[in-house]
Amino acid sequence: MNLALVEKPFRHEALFYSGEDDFLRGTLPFLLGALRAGEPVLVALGEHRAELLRQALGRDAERLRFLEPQALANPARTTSTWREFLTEHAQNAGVVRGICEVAWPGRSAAELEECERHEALLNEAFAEGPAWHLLCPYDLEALGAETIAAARRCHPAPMQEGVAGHSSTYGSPKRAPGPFSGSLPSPPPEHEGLAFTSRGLGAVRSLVAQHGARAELAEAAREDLVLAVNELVTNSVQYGGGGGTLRIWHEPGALVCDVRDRGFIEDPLAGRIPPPLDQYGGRGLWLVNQLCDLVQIRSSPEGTVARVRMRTGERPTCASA
Amino acid sequence: MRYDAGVGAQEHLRVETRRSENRVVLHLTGELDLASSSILERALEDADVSSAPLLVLDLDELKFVDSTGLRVILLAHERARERGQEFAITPGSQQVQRLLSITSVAEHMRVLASPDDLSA
Repeated sequence: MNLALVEKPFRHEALFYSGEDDFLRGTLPFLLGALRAGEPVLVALGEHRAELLRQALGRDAERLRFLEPQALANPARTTSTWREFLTEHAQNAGVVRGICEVAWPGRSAAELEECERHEALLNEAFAEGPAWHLLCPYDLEALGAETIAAARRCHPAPMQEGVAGHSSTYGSPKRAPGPFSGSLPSPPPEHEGLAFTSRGLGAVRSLVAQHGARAELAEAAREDLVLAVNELVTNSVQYGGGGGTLRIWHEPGALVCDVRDRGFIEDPLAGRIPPPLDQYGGRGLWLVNQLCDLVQIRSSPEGTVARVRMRTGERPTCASA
Repeated sequence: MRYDAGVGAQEHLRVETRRSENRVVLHLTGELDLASSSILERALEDADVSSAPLLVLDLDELKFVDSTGLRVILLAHERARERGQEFAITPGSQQVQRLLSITSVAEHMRVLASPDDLSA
């Protein structure tokens, strides 16, 4: 390993691999090294890759912590996961390590876009703080060129085929899109719309619950979606000019809710940091990220749109690559 | 596009305060959100509330609570603590329990099986 690459406390490294052997070549030394040094490791992978690792590690796998794959569904949730892990091991003298594959093959373009924004934000979120080393595998065979290029842009120290390198395309934060920049495709013509103010919160919840029932969401998922949309519209009322517009529509495999208002979210880390218990308010966006399968937020001085989706039908854990 | 005038907050949440020898119980019915939070806040300011040894928020008939409602509950908990008063809640519906658990608030509060319960 080239130690000169460790300039900042957060070592954020991409592993570009082709095939399962390559994946193991890139991850096993990292994990075994951590185990030898007594460093805490959290492994966040889809079921297929996690199983591959478990089999390769044998008994050693029991000494690692594996995150349940569903926790990776909404990329924005992952920042909190790592912060909590770091806090948990704050007393440990060694470097904390993690493996995280958020951009697995089979994810939609919308999900991959959020993955890229999330990865770029990690560098900012962990610029100061305890030293830790995060390895992010990217499947060269199954992911598109755009996704790979985006990964090169947000990982300062990429590793390919087990050899540490240096990314020539790692750009300044200004080049990567901020998490809320840009726009989203327009809602489809077949949607139901409801304009709301502070007096319409109950009506919003009812409408979401109705669509949740129509989409046959399980009760828990329906309640989660109602709560999430409620948080978004409450934010619109409190910070977005007193109200906004809700649009709901059904897509194959998902129920989508889109909330627009005139507010502007300036904090790039909004919704990604779990609020401490003694902070009484300001939990809304963080909650939305925990509850929904995907959260896309676009915000500018012209206004904000927050679009959340809940998977309908069978709720898969990660796609097996 | 529909425009909805919405219902008044009063129909949204009802708080009944019941004082007994060793506790005061605030029984919530309905939905606790941005529109109805002030109803709970006002009920908590009642003189009967601060003088009891134990303050119980009975959430069993609360159908819905969000982060703004949670804020009022957390503040009530903190104020009780500051005046040396015991504080407890009842579990509430699935939705209420979900919010309290996902925010890790539940593990920091005393939960009673029912509002007149003696055990934690």
